[in-house]
Amino acid sequence: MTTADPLLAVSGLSKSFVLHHQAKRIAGVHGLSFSVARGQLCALVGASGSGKSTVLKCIYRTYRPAAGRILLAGEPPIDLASCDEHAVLAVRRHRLSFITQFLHCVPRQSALEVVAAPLLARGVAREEARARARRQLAELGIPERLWDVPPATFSGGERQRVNIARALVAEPELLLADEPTASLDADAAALVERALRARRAAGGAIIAVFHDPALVARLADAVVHLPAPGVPCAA
Amino acid sequence: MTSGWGTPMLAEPPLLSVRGLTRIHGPGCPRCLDSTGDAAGRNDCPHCRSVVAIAGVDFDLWPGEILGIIGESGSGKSTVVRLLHLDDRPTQGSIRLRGGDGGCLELTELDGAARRRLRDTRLGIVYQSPHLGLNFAISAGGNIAERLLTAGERRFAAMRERALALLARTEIPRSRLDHRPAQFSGGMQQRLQIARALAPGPELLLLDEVTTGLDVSVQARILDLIMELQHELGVAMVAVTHDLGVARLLAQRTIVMRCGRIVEHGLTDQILEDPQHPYTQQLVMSAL
Repeated sequence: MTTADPLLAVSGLSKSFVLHHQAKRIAGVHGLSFSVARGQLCALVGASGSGKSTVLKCIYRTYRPAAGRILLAGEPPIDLASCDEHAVLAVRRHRLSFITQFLHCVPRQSALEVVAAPLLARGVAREEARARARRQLAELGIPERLWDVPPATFSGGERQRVNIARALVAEPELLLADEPTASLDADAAALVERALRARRAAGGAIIAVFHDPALVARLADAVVHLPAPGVPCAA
Repeated sequence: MTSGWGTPMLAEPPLLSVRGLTRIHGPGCPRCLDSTGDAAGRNDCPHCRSVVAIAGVDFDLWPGEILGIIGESGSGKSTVVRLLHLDDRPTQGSIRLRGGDGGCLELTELDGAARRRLRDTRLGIVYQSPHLGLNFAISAGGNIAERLLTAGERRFAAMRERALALLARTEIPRSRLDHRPAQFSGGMQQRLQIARALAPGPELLLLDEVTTGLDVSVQARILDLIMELQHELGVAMVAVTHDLGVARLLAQRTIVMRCGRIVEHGLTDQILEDPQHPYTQQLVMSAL
């Protein structure tokens, strides 16, 4: 694995979940370390329940890490595991995107508005944001007749591509992708694969979970193996 | 707006800083605070029967941010809104509002006239019940004009122009300008409340369960409108809701209250997907 000048360095990351009402602790990940450099795609691989999504959600801070550091390069570097909420929001706005498994968006917004939103939040002018959103939707094969329609009415595959378009449109330095092609047919999956390659070629770093081992083989520059649930990571 | 990467918004001071905010109804006694709250599971003091509506509430709100406050009835979230809107005075604590000149106003120390002036010009509120937020005896246009008048506007043409622009922006047809609120649908009454609240261009908008009781489609329209307005105007908001879906859509950060205390705060998606406190876990589990 390339470790020279990593964009993101995860060290000793642990996360478990305490369910108070059931007095239970559920293992997530334990002592995970890895890093990803610019222009590199790192695939997280492991059995179901090994914590692949947990790692992505800890980096995005949807989950609160229990221990460890998630250091994002910068002047100064930011520890996403411990920095305050506003710093996380700013990193999300300017540097980090997450292709989640499901699209959450405002009910009445059109697909075009959903995809343009991250650009508007970065301060890009409305017309330019919409033009870039149109290009991104076209690249992912969303037919033009759907651009002005809220994604709630779309098929699962179309909705997921809107989700991917929204994550890619701002050309994030670091992209997290949780099974981005799981609900897509072969043609759509090929468009998404091309878009991920383009992001990487432009210098973006990607940390991804793929349901399809063939995608890992084709795309990954580095592979991080997560041990079975409850087993600590090798030092 | 944010500047660089590492220190966004942090360089900028908060618009609103709330510290140690406490409101006790009743005489109060030395044991009130220890006998109530999250651990005690109650907000009425067993020793003196006072009700500790909220205690020790701390938070900051940055310009242009929407902060969610969630919790069930009796958690104290509406008390926070009433105190922020200066409808009530805290028993203890501080509410500091930053001005355009960089200076800070301690709102809890203002006299009656200054409180009214601040409420009329720099604060806005939208209530769950339109009867609290609107004057049902006058027209829609009158409702907006009334708020502009109290904010100091005296030019009729300017008031009319502003009222028409606000109605258009909140998707109320111009033909309804002279109709009274009672003739409006529930969703339109809420949109009129929003127009009225925004009339003087406030820096802080308080939303108290604004979509509770509305049909889902009407709710979606109001939430969209609020988000569009936040983006266009950059007005900071505090949104109180018991609906976790509303918090997810509107708020970047959320505070969870129980028995008058803040039991958890964090990024809204973290609160919903990785709740830490037993009460938040229960709230999230019963919603999903």
